[in-house]
Amino acid sequence: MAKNKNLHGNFKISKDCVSLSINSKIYPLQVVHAAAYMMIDRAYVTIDGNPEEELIIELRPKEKQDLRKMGYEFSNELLNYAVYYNQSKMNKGIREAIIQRAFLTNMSPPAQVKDTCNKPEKSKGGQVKDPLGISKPWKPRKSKVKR
Amino acid sequence: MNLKLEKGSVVLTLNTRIYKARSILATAELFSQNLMVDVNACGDRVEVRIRSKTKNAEMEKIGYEFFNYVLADSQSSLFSE
Repeated sequence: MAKNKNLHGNFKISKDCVSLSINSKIYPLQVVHAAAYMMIDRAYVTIDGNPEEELIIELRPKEKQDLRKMGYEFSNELLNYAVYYNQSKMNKGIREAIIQRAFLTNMSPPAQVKDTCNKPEKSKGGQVKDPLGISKPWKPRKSKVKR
Repeated sequence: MNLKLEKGSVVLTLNTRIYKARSILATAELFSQNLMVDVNACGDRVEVRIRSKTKNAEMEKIGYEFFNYVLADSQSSLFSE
């Protein structure tokens, strides 16, 4: 059986573009979008197909470039984002717990808040205690030096 | 093929199961500042017709650029959701 030179695994190279066929059960649409987004500075990307079964990605380089290399680079990006996506799905619970903890750390109900730092101590009669005599108005002493 | 060149215009067909309709409209609005953009929907597909206001515009490039913009918009809107 003659092997088609333009077929490389799951991608097909034509004159000015490379088409990739992606199984969306392995790579979900979010992963494909993220990988495609990484290529938009170098290529024109179009996505088509059925998101539940198979997605067809077409990469058309903006400048002359090795299409085969671009196809493999896209495959690597897919793998990269698939791992990230799966990891973030697994860590979702613990990530949310950490954020929730961080938000609740300094929160307490208003009834429990006791701010005694700046409030002066009061005696039973309602007068402010002043054991150091700070509240007395300051007057300069008369100098004892005789001239 | 989801891009078709016609006389002085380019017709794009986008699948709304892949590209968000909101992103397509946001991109169409952006492109309409310099080009004439017409958006139509039919089932799962949205047809975008882009016409240039000037002659000798590279309509094919503009069409593919539209796809890239929609992709970028749907990617950035993921973070704001």
